[in-house]
Amino acid sequence: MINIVIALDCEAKPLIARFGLKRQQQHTYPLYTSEHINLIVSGIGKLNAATASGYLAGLTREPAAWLNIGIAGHKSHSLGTLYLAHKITNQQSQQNWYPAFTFKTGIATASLASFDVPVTEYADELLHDMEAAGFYQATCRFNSAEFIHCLKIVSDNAEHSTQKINKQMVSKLIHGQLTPIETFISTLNNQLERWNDITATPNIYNDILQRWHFSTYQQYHLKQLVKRWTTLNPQKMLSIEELASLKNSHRVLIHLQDALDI
Amino acid sequence: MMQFIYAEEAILDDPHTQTLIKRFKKSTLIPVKHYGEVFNRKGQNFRLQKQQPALILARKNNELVLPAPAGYGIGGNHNYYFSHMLNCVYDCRYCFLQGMYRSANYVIFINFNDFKQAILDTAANHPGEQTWFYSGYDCDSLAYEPVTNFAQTFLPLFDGHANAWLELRTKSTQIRNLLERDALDNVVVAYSFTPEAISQVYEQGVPSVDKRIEAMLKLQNKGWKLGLRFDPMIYHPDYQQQYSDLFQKIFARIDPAAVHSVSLGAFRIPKGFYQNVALLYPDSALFAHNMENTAGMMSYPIGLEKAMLEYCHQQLLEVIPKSIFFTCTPPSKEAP
Repeated sequence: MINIVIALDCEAKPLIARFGLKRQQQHTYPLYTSEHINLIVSGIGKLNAATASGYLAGLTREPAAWLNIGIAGHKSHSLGTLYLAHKITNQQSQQNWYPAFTFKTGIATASLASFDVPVTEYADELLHDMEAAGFYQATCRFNSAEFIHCLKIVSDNAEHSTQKINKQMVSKLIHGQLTPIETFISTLNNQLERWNDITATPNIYNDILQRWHFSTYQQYHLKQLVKRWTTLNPQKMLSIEELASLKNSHRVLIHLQDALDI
Repeated sequence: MMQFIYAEEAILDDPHTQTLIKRFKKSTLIPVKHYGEVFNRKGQNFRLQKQQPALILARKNNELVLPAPAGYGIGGNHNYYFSHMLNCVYDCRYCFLQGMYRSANYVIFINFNDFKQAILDTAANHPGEQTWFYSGYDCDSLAYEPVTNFAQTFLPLFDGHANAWLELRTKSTQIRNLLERDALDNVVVAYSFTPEAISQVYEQGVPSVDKRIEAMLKLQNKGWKLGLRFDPMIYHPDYQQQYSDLFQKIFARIDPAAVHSVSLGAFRIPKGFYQNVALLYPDSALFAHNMENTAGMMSYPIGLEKAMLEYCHQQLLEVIPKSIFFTCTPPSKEAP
Protein backbone atom coordinates (compact mmCIF):
# COMPACT_ATOMS: atom_id res chain seq x y z
CA MET A 1 0.00 0.00 0.00
CA ILE A 2 1.25 3.46 -0.94
CA ASN A 3 -0.02 6.38 1.16
CA ILE A 4 0.24 9.73 -0.59
CA VAL A 5 -0.05 12.97 1.34
CA ILE A 6 -0.63 16.02 -0.84
CA ALA A 7 -1.39 19.60 0.15
CA LEU A 8 -3.73 20.87 -2.53
CA ASP A 9 -6.66 19.60 -4.57
CA CYS A 10 -5.04 20.92 -7.73
CA GLU A 11 -1.88 18.89 -6.97
CA ALA A 12 -3.96 15.79 -6.28
CA LYS A 13 -6.19 15.99 -9.33
CA PRO A 14 -3.76 14.60 -11.96
CA LEU A 15 -2.77 11.73 -9.63
CA ILE A 16 -6.39 10.88 -8.83
CA ALA A 17 -7.13 10.66 -12.56
CA ARG A 18 -3.96 8.71 -13.43
CA PHE A 19 -4.42 6.07 -10.72
CA GLY A 20 -8.22 5.92 -10.95
CA LEU A 21 -8.67 6.79 -7.28
CA LYS A 22 -12.19 6.95 -5.82
CA ARG A 23 -13.34 9.56 -3.29
CA GLN A 24 -14.22 8.08 0.08
CA GLN A 25 -16.99 9.91 1.91
CA GLN A 26 -17.30 10.82 5.59
CA HIS A 27 -13.67 11.49 6.31
CA THR A 28 -12.15 14.50 8.01
CA TYR A 29 -9.87 15.07 5.02
CA PRO A 30 -10.57 14.51 1.31
CA LEU A 31 -9.51 10.90 0.84
CA TYR A 32 -9.15 8.99 -2.44
CA THR A 33 -8.32 5.30 -2.67
CA SER A 34 -7.68 2.32 -4.92
CA GLU A 35 -6.55 -1.21 -4.12
CA HIS A 36 -2.90 -0.15 -3.67
CA ILE A 37 -2.99 3.63 -3.15
CA ASN A 38 -4.48 5.97 -0.57
CA LEU A 39 -4.27 9.70 -1.27
CA ILE A 40 -5.15 12.28 1.36
CA VAL A 41 -5.38 16.04 0.74
CA SER A 42 -3.90 17.63 3.83
CA GLY A 43 -4.09 21.36 3.22
CA ILE A 44 -1.10 23.71 3.26
CA GLY A 45 1.62 23.63 5.94
CA LYS A 46 3.68 21.29 8.08
CA LEU A 47 1.06 20.85 10.77
CA ASN A 48 -1.64 19.98 8.27
CA ALA A 49 0.69 17.51 6.56
CA ALA A 50 1.54 15.88 9.89
CA THR A 51 -2.04 15.60 11.14
CA ALA A 52 -3.32 14.27 7.81
CA SER A 53 -0.50 11.69 7.80
CA GLY A 54 -1.50 10.59 11.29
CA TYR A 55 -5.13 10.38 10.22
CA LEU A 56 -4.23 8.24 7.21
CA ALA A 57 -1.97 6.01 9.30
CA GLY A 58 -4.92 5.33 11.57
CA LEU A 59 -6.93 4.11 8.60
CA THR A 60 -4.18 1.92 7.13
CA ARG A 61 -4.34 -1.71 8.15
CA GLU A 62 -1.06 -2.89 6.60
CA PRO A 63 2.53 -1.55 6.53
CA ALA A 64 2.59 1.21 3.93
CA ALA A 65 5.12 3.28 2.04
CA TRP A 66 4.62 7.02 2.31
CA LEU A 67 4.97 9.74 -0.28
CA ASN A 68 4.59 13.49 -0.06
CA ILE A 69 4.08 14.85 -3.56
CA GLY A 70 3.73 18.51 -4.40
CA ILE A 71 5.18 21.70 -5.72
CA ALA A 72 8.28 23.52 -4.46
CA GLY A 73 10.32 26.59 -5.23
CA HIS A 74 13.97 26.79 -6.18
CA LYS A 75 16.23 29.70 -7.02
CA SER A 76 17.36 28.46 -10.40
CA HIS A 77 15.85 25.11 -11.35
CA SER A 78 13.47 25.10 -14.30
CA LEU A 79 9.74 25.00 -13.74
CA GLY A 80 8.30 21.51 -14.00
CA THR A 81 11.49 19.68 -12.98
CA LEU A 82 10.94 16.71 -10.68
CA TYR A 83 13.14 16.12 -7.63
CA LEU A 84 13.33 13.51 -4.93
CA ALA A 85 14.38 14.91 -1.55
CA HIS A 86 17.63 13.49 -0.12
CA LYS A 87 17.56 15.79 2.89
CA ILE A 88 14.55 17.42 4.51
CA THR A 89 14.97 20.32 6.91
CA ASN A 90 12.42 21.95 9.14
CA GLN A 91 13.59 25.51 8.55
CA GLN A 92 12.16 26.71 11.85
CA SER A 93 13.64 24.03 14.15
CA GLN A 94 16.60 23.17 11.90
CA GLN A 95 15.80 19.50 12.40
CA ASN A 96 16.92 17.27 9.51
CA TRP A 97 15.77 13.95 8.07
CA TYR A 98 17.51 11.83 5.46
CA PRO A 99 15.34 9.47 3.38
CA ALA A 100 17.19 6.23 2.56
CA PHE A 101 17.44 5.06 -1.04
CA THR A 102 17.58 1.34 -1.67
CA PHE A 103 17.15 1.39 -5.43
CA LYS A 104 18.14 3.55 -8.38
CA THR A 105 15.32 5.94 -9.17
CA GLY A 106 16.50 7.86 -12.21
CA ILE A 107 15.10 10.99 -10.56
CA ALA A 108 17.44 13.84 -9.60
CA THR A 109 17.69 14.48 -5.86
CA ALA A 110 17.97 17.71 -3.88
CA SER A 111 17.86 19.12 -0.37
CA LEU A 112 14.44 20.37 0.63
CA ALA A 113 13.57 22.87 3.36
CA SER A 114 10.07 23.36 4.73
CA PHE A 115 9.07 26.91 5.66
CA ASP A 116 6.11 28.27 7.61
CA VAL A 117 5.17 30.86 4.98
CA PRO A 118 5.65 31.07 1.21
CA VAL A 119 9.20 32.09 0.34
CA THR A 120 10.22 34.58 -2.28
CA GLU A 121 13.90 34.89 -1.32
CA TYR A 122 15.37 31.52 -2.30
CA ALA A 123 18.36 30.06 -0.52
CA ASP A 124 21.00 28.55 -2.80
CA GLU A 125 20.66 24.89 -3.76
CA LEU A 126 17.51 24.29 -1.71
CA LEU A 127 14.04 23.31 -2.71
CA HIS A 128 11.49 25.29 -0.67
CA ASP A 129 8.12 23.92 0.36
CA MET A 130 5.71 24.09 3.30
CA GLU A 131 4.84 20.44 4.09
CA ALA A 132 7.66 17.92 3.76
CA ALA A 133 9.16 18.35 7.25
CA GLY A 134 5.78 17.90 8.93
CA PHE A 135 4.99 14.93 6.73
CA TYR A 136 8.36 13.29 7.40
CA GLN A 137 8.39 13.87 11.14
CA ALA A 138 4.96 12.24 11.40
CA THR A 139 5.41 9.33 9.01
CA CYS A 140 8.84 8.21 10.26
CA ARG A 141 6.86 6.75 13.18
CA PHE A 142 4.96 4.46 10.83
CA ASN A 143 7.70 2.93 8.68
CA SER A 144 11.44 3.03 8.12
CA ALA A 145 13.32 5.68 6.15
CA GLU A 146 13.52 3.46 3.08
CA PHE A 147 9.77 3.71 2.63
CA ILE A 148 9.21 7.44 3.15
CA HIS A 149 9.96 9.88 0.37
CA CYS A 150 9.14 13.36 -0.91
CA LEU A 151 8.73 14.12 -4.61
CA LYS A 152 8.68 17.78 -5.53
CA ILE A 153 8.06 19.55 -8.81
CA VAL A 154 9.48 23.04 -9.26
CA SER A 155 6.65 25.58 -9.51
CA ASP A 156 8.49 28.84 -8.88
CA ASN A 157 11.97 30.28 -9.09
CA ALA A 158 13.77 33.62 -9.16
CA GLU A 159 12.33 34.30 -12.59
CA HIS A 160 8.82 33.06 -11.91
CA SER A 161 7.56 34.02 -8.44
CA THR A 162 4.96 32.25 -6.29
CA GLN A 163 2.47 35.01 -7.16
CA LYS A 164 2.29 33.67 -10.70
CA ILE A 165 1.20 30.22 -9.55
CA ASN A 166 -2.42 29.23 -10.18
CA LYS A 167 -4.41 25.99 -9.88
CA GLN A 168 -4.33 25.16 -13.57
CA MET A 169 -0.60 25.64 -13.73
CA VAL A 170 -0.01 23.40 -10.68
CA SER A 171 -2.14 20.61 -12.14
CA LYS A 172 -0.28 20.92 -15.43
CA LEU A 173 3.13 20.74 -13.70
CA ILE A 174 2.15 17.60 -11.79
CA HIS A 175 0.59 16.09 -14.90
CA GLY A 176 3.87 16.59 -16.75
CA GLN A 177 5.73 14.33 -14.32
CA LEU A 178 3.16 11.56 -13.90
CA THR A 179 5.23 8.96 -15.75
CA PRO A 180 8.35 9.13 -13.54
CA ILE A 181 6.14 9.45 -10.46
CA GLU A 182 4.23 6.32 -11.47
CA THR A 183 7.49 4.42 -12.11
CA PHE A 184 8.82 5.47 -8.72
CA ILE A 185 5.61 4.42 -6.98
CA SER A 186 5.67 1.07 -8.74
CA THR A 187 9.28 0.32 -7.75
CA LEU A 188 8.71 1.47 -4.18
CA ASN A 189 5.60 -0.69 -3.96
CA ASN A 190 7.54 -3.73 -5.23
CA GLN A 191 10.16 -3.18 -2.53
CA LEU A 192 7.47 -2.83 0.10
CA GLU A 193 5.66 -5.97 -1.00
CA ARG A 194 8.89 -7.98 -0.95
CA TRP A 195 9.61 -6.75 2.55
CA ASN A 196 6.06 -7.42 3.70
CA ASP A 197 6.30 -10.96 2.28
CA ILE A 198 9.54 -11.57 4.17
CA THR A 199 8.04 -10.43 7.46
CA ALA A 200 4.54 -11.83 6.95
CA THR A 201 3.04 -14.15 9.51
CA PRO A 202 2.04 -17.54 8.02
CA ASN A 203 -1.71 -18.13 7.78
CA ILE A 204 -1.49 -21.13 10.09
CA TYR A 205 -0.92 -18.69 12.96
CA ASN A 206 -4.54 -17.52 12.84
CA ASP A 207 -5.78 -21.10 12.46
CA ILE A 208 -3.93 -22.07 15.64
CA LEU A 209 -5.37 -19.07 17.51
CA GLN A 210 -8.87 -20.22 16.56
CA ARG A 211 -8.26 -23.68 17.93
CA TRP A 212 -6.61 -22.93 21.30
CA HIS A 213 -6.68 -19.97 23.69
CA PHE A 214 -3.38 -18.07 23.89
CA SER A 215 -2.59 -15.21 26.27
CA THR A 216 -1.19 -12.01 24.73
CA TYR A 217 2.36 -13.04 25.62
CA GLN A 218 1.76 -16.54 24.27
CA GLN A 219 0.45 -15.07 21.01
CA TYR A 220 3.68 -13.17 20.53
CA HIS A 221 5.68 -16.30 21.29
CA LEU A 222 3.52 -18.40 18.96
CA LYS A 223 3.96 -15.94 16.10
CA GLN A 224 7.75 -16.14 16.39
CA LEU A 225 7.73 -19.94 16.60
CA VAL A 226 5.44 -20.34 13.59
CA LYS A 227 7.64 -18.01 11.51
CA ARG A 228 10.80 -19.85 12.52
CA TRP A 229 9.20 -23.24 11.90
CA THR A 230 8.18 -22.09 8.41
CA THR A 231 11.71 -20.83 7.67
CA LEU A 232 13.21 -24.18 8.62
CA ASN A 233 10.59 -26.19 6.73
CA PRO A 234 10.01 -24.27 3.50
CA GLN A 235 8.74 -27.36 1.67
CA LYS A 236 6.33 -28.47 4.36
CA MET A 237 3.31 -26.53 5.60
CA LEU A 238 2.62 -26.63 9.30
CA SER A 239 -0.89 -28.04 9.70
CA ILE A 240 -3.55 -28.04 12.38
CA GLU A 241 -3.76 -31.84 11.98
CA GLU A 242 -0.16 -32.15 13.13
CA LEU A 243 -1.01 -30.26 16.32
CA ALA A 244 -4.52 -31.66 16.83
CA SER A 245 -3.61 -34.06 19.62
CA LEU A 246 -2.12 -31.32 21.78
CA LYS A 247 -4.30 -30.44 24.76
CA ASN A 248 -3.69 -26.72 25.19
CA SER A 249 -1.76 -23.67 24.05
CA HIS A 250 1.13 -24.45 26.39
CA ARG A 251 1.60 -27.85 24.73
CA VAL A 252 1.43 -26.30 21.27
CA LEU A 253 4.19 -23.87 22.19
CA ILE A 254 6.37 -26.65 23.62
CA HIS A 255 5.80 -28.81 20.56
CA LEU A 256 6.85 -26.04 18.19
CA GLN A 257 9.78 -24.98 20.36
CA ASP A 258 11.12 -28.54 20.44
CA ALA A 259 10.84 -28.79 16.67
CA LEU A 260 13.30 -25.91 16.33
CA ASP A 261 16.18 -27.67 18.09
CA ILE A 262 19.27 -28.24 16.01
CA MET B 1 29.25 3.28 -7.82
CA MET B 2 28.19 5.08 -4.68
CA GLN B 3 24.97 7.01 -5.30
CA PHE B 4 25.21 9.18 -2.18
CA ILE B 5 28.02 10.45 0.01
CA TYR B 6 27.17 12.08 3.29
CA ALA B 7 30.00 14.16 4.72
CA GLU B 8 30.25 16.10 7.95
CA GLU B 9 30.32 19.84 7.22
CA ALA B 10 33.38 20.33 9.43
CA ILE B 11 35.53 17.98 7.35
CA LEU B 12 34.42 18.96 3.87
CA ASP B 13 37.69 20.78 3.18
CA ASP B 14 39.91 18.09 4.66
CA PRO B 15 42.28 16.70 1.99
CA HIS B 16 41.35 13.11 2.86
CA THR B 17 37.64 13.96 2.50
CA GLN B 18 38.30 15.68 -0.80
CA THR B 19 40.25 12.67 -2.11
CA LEU B 20 37.35 10.37 -1.30
CA ILE B 21 34.76 12.74 -2.77
CA LYS B 22 36.78 13.06 -5.97
CA ARG B 23 36.98 9.29 -6.23
CA PHE B 24 33.19 9.14 -6.50
CA LYS B 25 32.67 12.05 -8.90
CA LYS B 26 29.20 10.98 -9.96
CA SER B 27 27.91 10.61 -6.41
CA THR B 28 25.60 13.15 -4.85
CA LEU B 29 27.28 14.87 -1.90
CA ILE B 30 25.02 15.61 1.06
CA PRO B 31 26.55 17.69 3.88
CA VAL B 32 25.51 16.72 7.43
CA LYS B 33 26.31 18.24 10.82
CA HIS B 34 27.27 14.92 12.44
CA TYR B 35 27.43 11.48 10.89
CA GLY B 36 25.11 10.14 13.59
CA GLU B 37 22.25 12.14 12.02
CA VAL B 38 22.27 9.59 9.20
CA PHE B 39 23.91 6.56 10.72
CA ASN B 40 22.43 6.32 14.20
CA ARG B 41 18.88 7.55 13.83
CA LYS B 42 15.98 5.22 14.54
CA GLY B 43 13.66 3.86 11.87
CA GLN B 44 16.18 2.43 9.41
CA ASN B 45 16.26 -0.98 7.84
CA PHE B 46 19.78 -2.45 7.71
CA ARG B 47 18.78 -5.23 5.36
CA LEU B 48 17.19 -2.96 2.78
CA GLN B 49 20.05 -0.46 2.97
CA LYS B 50 22.50 -3.26 2.27
CA GLN B 51 21.06 -3.32 -1.27
CA GLN B 52 22.56 0.09 -1.99
CA PRO B 53 24.74 1.42 0.83
CA ALA B 54 25.84 5.04 0.88
CA LEU B 55 29.20 6.34 2.07
CA ILE B 56 29.43 8.51 5.17
CA LEU B 57 32.58 10.54 5.81
CA ALA B 58 33.14 11.65 9.36
CA ARG B 59 35.68 12.50 12.02
CA LYS B 60 35.98 10.33 15.13
CA ASN B 61 36.76 12.62 18.03
CA ASN B 62 37.16 10.31 20.99
CA GLU B 63 37.56 6.66 21.99
CA LEU B 64 39.72 6.09 18.94
CA VAL B 65 41.39 3.07 20.54
CA LEU B 66 39.35 0.85 22.83
CA PRO B 67 40.11 -2.23 24.95
CA ALA B 68 39.23 -5.41 23.03
CA PRO B 69 36.31 -7.41 24.43
CA ALA B 70 37.22 -10.06 27.00
CA GLY B 71 38.18 -13.35 25.37
CA TYR B 72 39.42 -11.58 22.24
CA GLY B 73 43.15 -12.14 21.95
CA ILE B 74 46.00 -14.13 20.48
CA GLY B 75 48.45 -14.26 23.31
CA GLY B 76 49.52 -10.65 23.69
CA ASN B 77 49.84 -8.81 26.99
CA HIS B 78 47.33 -6.14 26.03
CA ASN B 79 44.56 -6.10 23.47
CA TYR B 80 42.91 -3.09 21.85
CA TYR B 81 40.83 -2.43 18.78
CA PHE B 82 40.25 0.57 16.59
CA SER B 83 37.83 1.20 13.75
CA HIS B 84 38.70 3.50 10.88
CA MET B 85 35.49 2.26 9.28
CA LEU B 86 32.07 1.07 10.45
CA ASN B 87 30.32 -1.65 8.48
CA CYS B 88 31.58 -4.01 5.85
CA VAL B 89 31.31 -4.34 2.10
CA TYR B 90 30.49 -8.01 2.58
CA ASP B 91 27.15 -9.34 3.76
CA CYS B 92 27.72 -12.19 6.20
CA ARG B 93 24.52 -13.34 7.78
CA TYR B 94 26.16 -14.25 11.11
CA CYS B 95 27.84 -10.85 11.53
CA PHE B 96 26.96 -8.97 14.72
CA LEU B 97 27.31 -5.60 12.96
CA GLN B 98 23.90 -6.02 11.31
CA GLY B 99 22.35 -6.20 14.77
CA MET B 100 24.54 -3.51 16.31
CA TYR B 101 24.10 -0.76 13.74
CA ARG B 102 20.84 0.70 12.51
CA SER B 103 22.29 1.63 9.14
CA ALA B 104 24.17 -0.44 6.56
CA ASN B 105 25.90 2.63 5.14
CA TYR B 106 29.70 2.60 5.29
CA VAL B 107 31.23 5.14 7.66
CA ILE B 108 34.85 6.09 7.03
CA PHE B 109 36.57 8.15 9.72
CA ILE B 110 38.96 10.33 7.77
CA ASN B 111 41.20 11.47 10.65
CA PHE B 112 43.72 8.67 10.26
CA ASN B 113 46.45 10.75 11.92
CA ASP B 114 44.41 10.95 15.14
CA PHE B 115 44.04 7.16 15.11
CA LYS B 116 47.77 6.77 14.58
CA GLN B 117 48.56 9.07 17.50
CA ALA B 118 46.10 7.20 19.74
CA ILE B 119 47.77 3.90 18.82
CA LEU B 120 51.23 5.29 19.61
CA ASP B 121 49.99 6.74 22.91
CA THR B 122 48.38 3.45 23.88
CA ALA B 123 51.46 1.41 22.96
CA ALA B 124 53.61 3.85 24.93
CA ASN B 125 51.57 2.99 28.03
CA HIS B 126 52.89 -0.59 27.80
CA PRO B 127 56.63 -0.25 27.09
CA GLY B 128 58.29 -3.55 26.25
CA GLU B 129 54.99 -5.45 26.35
CA GLN B 130 53.32 -6.95 23.34
CA THR B 131 50.31 -4.74 22.69
CA TRP B 132 47.86 -5.78 20.03
CA PHE B 133 45.72 -3.50 17.91
CA TYR B 134 42.88 -5.20 16.06
CA SER B 135 41.62 -3.32 13.03
CA GLY B 136 38.94 -5.70 11.78
CA TYR B 137 36.38 -5.50 14.54
CA ASP B 138 33.80 -3.11 13.04
CA CYS B 139 34.75 -3.71 9.41
CA ASP B 140 36.88 -5.94 7.20
CA SER B 141 40.42 -4.56 7.43
CA LEU B 142 41.24 -4.81 3.72
CA ALA B 143 38.03 -5.17 1.72
CA TYR B 144 37.70 -1.44 1.10
CA GLU B 145 41.45 -0.82 0.73
CA PRO B 146 41.22 0.59 -2.82
CA VAL B 147 39.02 3.35 -1.41
CA THR B 148 40.43 3.89 2.08
CA ASN B 149 44.14 3.06 1.65
CA PHE B 150 43.92 2.07 5.28
CA ALA B 151 46.67 -0.56 5.29
CA GLN B 152 48.96 1.51 3.14
CA THR B 153 48.59 4.42 5.55
CA PHE B 154 48.84 2.53 8.84
CA LEU B 155 51.54 -0.06 8.11
CA PRO B 156 54.43 2.44 8.25
CA LEU B 157 53.30 3.33 11.77
CA PHE B 158 54.00 -0.19 12.99
CA ASP B 159 57.39 -0.29 11.29
CA GLY B 160 59.67 0.81 14.11
CA HIS B 161 57.28 0.33 17.03
CA ALA B 162 58.12 -3.23 17.95
CA ASN B 163 55.78 -3.59 20.93
CA ALA B 164 52.76 -2.47 18.88
CA TRP B 165 51.26 -5.37 16.92
CA LEU B 166 48.62 -5.01 14.27
CA GLU B 167 46.10 -7.61 13.20
CA LEU B 168 44.51 -7.04 9.80
CA ARG B 169 41.47 -9.30 9.85
CA THR B 170 39.92 -9.94 6.48
CA LYS B 171 38.19 -12.12 3.95
CA SER B 172 39.48 -9.94 1.15
CA THR B 173 41.86 -10.44 -1.73
CA GLN B 174 42.67 -6.69 -1.84
CA ILE B 175 46.31 -7.23 -0.88
CA ARG B 176 48.17 -5.21 -3.49
CA ASN B 177 49.31 -2.60 -0.95
CA LEU B 178 50.79 -5.39 1.20
CA LEU B 179 52.52 -7.16 -1.67
CA GLU B 180 54.11 -3.92 -2.83
CA ARG B 181 56.03 -3.42 0.41
CA ASP B 182 58.21 -5.46 2.75
CA ALA B 183 56.48 -7.59 5.34
CA LEU B 184 56.52 -6.37 8.92
CA ASP B 185 57.36 -8.63 11.86
CA ASN B 186 54.67 -7.13 14.07
CA VAL B 187 51.76 -7.33 11.61
CA VAL B 188 49.57 -10.38 11.12
CA VAL B 189 47.20 -10.72 8.17
CA ALA B 190 44.45 -12.92 9.56
CA TYR B 191 42.00 -14.61 7.20
CA SER B 192 38.53 -15.62 8.33
CA PHE B 193 36.96 -18.78 6.97
CA THR B 194 33.88 -20.89 7.17
CA PRO B 195 33.61 -24.04 5.04
CA GLU B 196 32.66 -23.43 1.41
CA ALA B 197 29.15 -24.91 1.81
CA ILE B 198 28.46 -22.52 4.69
CA SER B 199 30.17 -19.58 3.01
CA GLN B 200 28.00 -19.94 -0.08
CA VAL B 201 24.85 -19.66 2.01
CA TYR B 202 25.83 -17.12 4.63
CA GLU B 203 28.66 -15.00 3.17
CA GLN B 204 27.33 -12.86 0.32
CA GLY B 205 29.89 -11.04 -1.80
CA VAL B 206 32.85 -12.70 -0.09
CA PRO B 207 35.74 -14.16 -2.16
CA SER B 208 35.61 -17.95 -2.36
CA VAL B 209 37.64 -20.08 0.02
CA ASP B 210 40.04 -20.87 -2.85
CA LYS B 211 40.58 -17.22 -3.67
CA ARG B 212 41.27 -16.40 -0.03
CA ILE B 213 43.80 -19.23 0.18
CA GLU B 214 45.39 -17.92 -3.01
CA ALA B 215 45.73 -14.47 -1.44
CA MET B 216 47.22 -16.00 1.71
CA LEU B 217 49.74 -17.88 -0.41
CA LYS B 218 50.90 -14.67 -2.07
CA LEU B 219 51.27 -13.02 1.33
CA GLN B 220 53.11 -16.06 2.70
CA ASN B 221 55.55 -15.95 -0.22
CA LYS B 222 56.14 -12.28 0.48
CA GLY B 223 56.97 -13.08 4.11
CA TRP B 224 53.87 -11.76 5.86
CA LYS B 225 52.82 -13.47 9.07
CA LEU B 226 49.45 -15.14 8.57
CA GLY B 227 46.57 -15.77 10.90
CA LEU B 228 43.66 -18.15 10.53
CA ARG B 229 40.35 -17.29 12.14
CA PHE B 230 37.56 -19.82 12.31
CA ASP B 231 35.37 -17.45 14.21
CA PRO B 232 32.46 -17.73 14.26
CA MET B 233 32.09 -21.43 13.64
CA ILE B 234 28.75 -22.03 11.95
CA TYR B 235 26.80 -25.22 12.40
CA HIS B 236 26.20 -27.53 9.45
CA PRO B 237 24.60 -30.99 9.77
CA ASP B 238 27.85 -32.35 8.36
CA TYR B 239 30.06 -29.89 10.21
CA GLN B 240 32.82 -32.40 11.03
CA GLN B 241 33.45 -33.25 7.39
CA GLN B 242 32.96 -29.64 6.31
CA TYR B 243 35.50 -28.24 8.75
CA SER B 244 37.94 -31.14 8.19
CA ASP B 245 37.84 -30.52 4.47
CA LEU B 246 38.38 -26.81 5.02
CA PHE B 247 41.43 -27.37 7.25
CA GLN B 248 42.89 -29.85 4.76
CA LYS B 249 42.34 -27.48 1.88
CA ILE B 250 44.05 -24.61 3.68
CA PHE B 251 47.05 -26.57 4.96
CA ALA B 252 47.54 -28.30 1.62
CA ARG B 253 48.76 -24.92 0.38
CA ILE B 254 49.64 -22.83 3.42
CA ASP B 255 52.77 -23.77 5.33
CA PRO B 256 51.83 -24.15 9.02
CA ALA B 257 55.25 -22.68 9.86
CA ALA B 258 54.17 -19.41 8.24
CA VAL B 259 51.08 -19.25 10.42
CA HIS B 260 51.38 -16.94 13.39
CA SER B 261 48.14 -17.89 15.11
CA VAL B 262 44.97 -19.89 14.66
CA SER B 263 41.80 -19.08 16.54
CA LEU B 264 38.45 -20.76 16.95
CA GLY B 265 35.32 -19.08 18.18
CA ALA B 266 31.78 -20.29 18.62
CA PHE B 267 28.91 -18.45 16.97
CA ARG B 268 27.81 -15.91 19.54
CA ILE B 269 25.97 -12.62 19.43
CA PRO B 270 24.68 -10.35 22.23
CA LYS B 271 20.99 -10.92 22.86
CA GLY B 272 19.92 -7.40 21.84
CA PHE B 273 21.79 -7.62 18.55
CA TYR B 274 20.45 -11.13 17.98
CA GLN B 275 16.87 -9.91 18.37
CA ASN B 276 17.49 -7.11 15.87
CA VAL B 277 19.01 -9.46 13.29
CA ALA B 278 16.31 -12.09 13.74
CA LEU B 279 13.69 -9.41 12.93
CA LEU B 280 15.63 -8.36 9.82
CA TYR B 281 16.18 -11.91 8.56
CA PRO B 282 13.18 -14.02 9.64
CA ASP B 283 13.79 -16.09 6.49
CA SER B 284 17.32 -17.12 7.52
CA ALA B 285 17.73 -20.58 9.03
CA LEU B 286 20.64 -19.25 11.07
CA PHE B 287 18.22 -17.42 13.37
CA ALA B 288 15.34 -19.91 13.19
CA HIS B 289 16.93 -22.70 15.21
CA ASN B 290 16.84 -22.60 18.98
CA MET B 291 19.74 -20.74 20.56
CA GLU B 292 20.80 -20.57 24.19
CA ASN B 293 21.17 -17.40 26.17
CA THR B 294 24.23 -17.50 28.40
CA ALA B 295 24.83 -14.31 30.35
CA GLY B 296 23.20 -12.22 27.62
CA MET B 297 25.06 -13.91 24.77
CA MET B 298 23.07 -16.00 22.28
CA SER B 299 24.84 -19.08 20.95
CA TYR B 300 24.28 -22.69 19.95
CA PRO B 301 23.18 -25.13 22.68
CA ILE B 302 26.17 -25.67 24.92
CA GLY B 303 26.57 -29.36 24.07
CA LEU B 304 26.71 -28.68 20.35
CA GLU B 305 29.00 -25.70 20.75
CA LYS B 306 31.39 -27.74 22.88
CA ALA B 307 31.37 -30.64 20.42
CA MET B 308 32.10 -28.33 17.47
CA LEU B 309 34.91 -26.55 19.28
CA GLU B 310 36.49 -29.76 20.54
CA TYR B 311 36.32 -31.47 17.18
CA CYS B 312 37.90 -28.55 15.33
CA HIS B 313 40.44 -28.05 18.11
CA GLN B 314 41.59 -31.66 17.73
CA GLN B 315 41.71 -31.44 13.97
CA LEU B 316 43.78 -28.28 14.03
CA LEU B 317 46.27 -29.61 16.60
CA GLU B 318 47.15 -32.39 14.18
CA VAL B 319 48.64 -29.71 11.94
CA ILE B 320 49.64 -26.78 14.13
CA PRO B 321 51.46 -26.53 17.47
CA LYS B 322 49.36 -25.83 20.55
CA SER B 323 51.35 -22.65 21.16
CA ILE B 324 49.72 -20.82 18.26
CA PHE B 325 46.17 -22.01 18.97
CA PHE B 326 43.70 -19.67 20.66
CA THR B 327 40.03 -19.82 21.47
CA CYS B 328 37.87 -16.71 21.37
CA THR B 329 35.39 -17.40 24.11
CA PRO B 330 33.27 -15.04 26.18
CA PRO B 331 34.29 -15.05 29.87
CA SER B 332 31.11 -16.95 30.77
CA LYS B 333 32.24 -20.00 28.80
CA GLU B 334 35.05 -22.46 29.18
CA ALA B 335 37.55 -22.82 26.36
CA PRO B 336 38.41 -26.35 25.13
